[in-house]
Amino acid sequence: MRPGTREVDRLSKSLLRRAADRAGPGSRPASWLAGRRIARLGTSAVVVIAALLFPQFEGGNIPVMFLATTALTYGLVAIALNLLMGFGGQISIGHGGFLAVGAFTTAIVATHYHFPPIVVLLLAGLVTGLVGFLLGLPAGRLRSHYLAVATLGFGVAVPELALNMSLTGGFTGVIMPPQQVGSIQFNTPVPLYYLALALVATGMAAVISLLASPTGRRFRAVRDSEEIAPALGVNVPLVKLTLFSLSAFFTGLAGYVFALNNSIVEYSQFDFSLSLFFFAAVIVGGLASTWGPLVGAIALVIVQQQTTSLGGLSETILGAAVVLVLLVVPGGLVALPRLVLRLAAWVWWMAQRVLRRRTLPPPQDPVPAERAMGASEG
Amino acid sequence: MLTIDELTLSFGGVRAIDNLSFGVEDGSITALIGPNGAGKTSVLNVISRFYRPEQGRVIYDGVDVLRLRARQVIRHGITRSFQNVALFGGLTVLENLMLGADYQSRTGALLDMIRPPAVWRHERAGRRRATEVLEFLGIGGIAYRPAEELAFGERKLVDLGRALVPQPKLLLLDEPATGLVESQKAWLTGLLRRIPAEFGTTLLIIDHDMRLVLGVSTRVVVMDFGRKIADGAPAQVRENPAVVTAYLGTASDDAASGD
Repeated sequence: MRPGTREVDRLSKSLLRRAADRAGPGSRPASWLAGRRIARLGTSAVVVIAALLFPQFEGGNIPVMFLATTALTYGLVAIALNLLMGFGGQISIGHGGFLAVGAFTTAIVATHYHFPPIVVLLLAGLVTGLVGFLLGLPAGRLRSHYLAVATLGFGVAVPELALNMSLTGGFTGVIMPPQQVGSIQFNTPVPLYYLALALVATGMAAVISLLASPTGRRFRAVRDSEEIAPALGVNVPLVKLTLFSLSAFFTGLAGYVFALNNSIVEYSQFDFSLSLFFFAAVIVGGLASTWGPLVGAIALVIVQQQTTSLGGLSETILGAAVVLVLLVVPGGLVALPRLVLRLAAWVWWMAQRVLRRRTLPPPQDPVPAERAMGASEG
Repeated sequence: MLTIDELTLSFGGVRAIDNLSFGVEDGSITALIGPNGAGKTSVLNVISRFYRPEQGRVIYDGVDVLRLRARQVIRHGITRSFQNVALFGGLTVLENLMLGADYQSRTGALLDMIRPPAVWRHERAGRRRATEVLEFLGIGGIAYRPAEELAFGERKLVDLGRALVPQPKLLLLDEPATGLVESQKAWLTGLLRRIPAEFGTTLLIIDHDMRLVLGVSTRVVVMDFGRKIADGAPAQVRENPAVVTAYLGTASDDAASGD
């Protein structure tokens, strides 16, 4: 046996064992998988029920309802942005611009035509989707930093355009007329909250459904390797166009809720910091996760609300919160439960080790290498 | 039948492929070998339309391959694996393989979002197909692991599997044995031999491992400095003095130990 062979053998054994440890479904016990599934379903059910019952408790509190609807609106934008960034790998720091297009479309169409709300809603989505498609034409040829700058330009340009066009009401903006289906007034807090909730649910369902489909795999294939994807028949420019259009469409739907929630749509609401807010919400919540963008948007809306009294400090605190989350949980807020569980498991394991060492005689291991391996993992 | 005719490709002043012509018979396992830098991978990249040659023709089943776009090549029954293993890291092994069949999906983004029965059917068929290929490769156990977590040997197999899922008529393999240990190479040799019969696939394999090539292939084309220096049955090529010179003797060593 050559010198060093045993070390190599020992190393490869420990690597194998670690591979078995970190493996996903298939190598994990069925009970563990079932437990995880139950935990996930249970959490989702609790969240959904809490969201449905929320107006029962806070329905009369108009500022709180305004904030809750704002959080859901931004949550939908973050979900749309996450589709583009997390699953499509295309960066955008201009989604405030898409939200503005959706909101202005809503207010303008509702002012001039007496369409039913569903038509206005769909128009807001489709017009914004078309703008996304048009932006996707040049943006589809750009990557990473260049794409970031291009979308930044879009995010800055839209409010400037709104300020300087008569169609968008210039400095004063456009007042949003009431929207009504039967006896339901969509410009009152509770119905609007439920509408926002329904749109968020639709957006999430659409993203989940897409991900487990040929289109969703193409998205992620382009994200992971644009160079290789064509060898599997993926039309990369088409994928990017689809991504931009879909993301803009859902952001446009959010624009409808935004217009109703704020009663007026004006250029100053779409300050560039709003685009950065959406970007931060996706990252803080958890890029490429299902719940992450919504969680991130709600968390940031709360942080922003709690710090408004501090004036200019608010933005600083928001920024600090983002940095803090990224330092502690790089996977975003949705990775927090797993981190806590791992930490608990580690503490439990360490405690057992310490206790065993105190109470039992040293183990009689026939293979000294095994013990060395175990120790090296501590 | 794949025909490559007077192909020339240059990078700046370097001739990567120099007036190269050869054919690949249907049902054969053809090996394209040569020392490092001989231009083998460039030939593959030309066929899969990643590189644009200055001149020459590539005809497959009457189709002018050089008129296709890179993404259309798979539709004509040609797939490939990659030398440096290019899996989609964020996708699971199963998803990587299912992507191999996704070019056949006729539903667009909107229908995929609403999921009519056609999408379910495609997904079911794709999953079954991918699972079959994973079983064939003996790596059914890692189906749900993210590709980025895999060990190198596993990645090579997943890369091969992804190219097999569409049941290609012509499969281009770029150094399938690189990075594998000897026992794995022997096992891979057996596996590759079974592919033409089980999948109805013609193989064009690039490698510089003479033992693997001579063990697998029915025909060998040898390249050096972008030119073809030998072409024929494995036994003939092994004796060819030009080949021995190109490999500076290592070839004959390898060949001898391979007997």
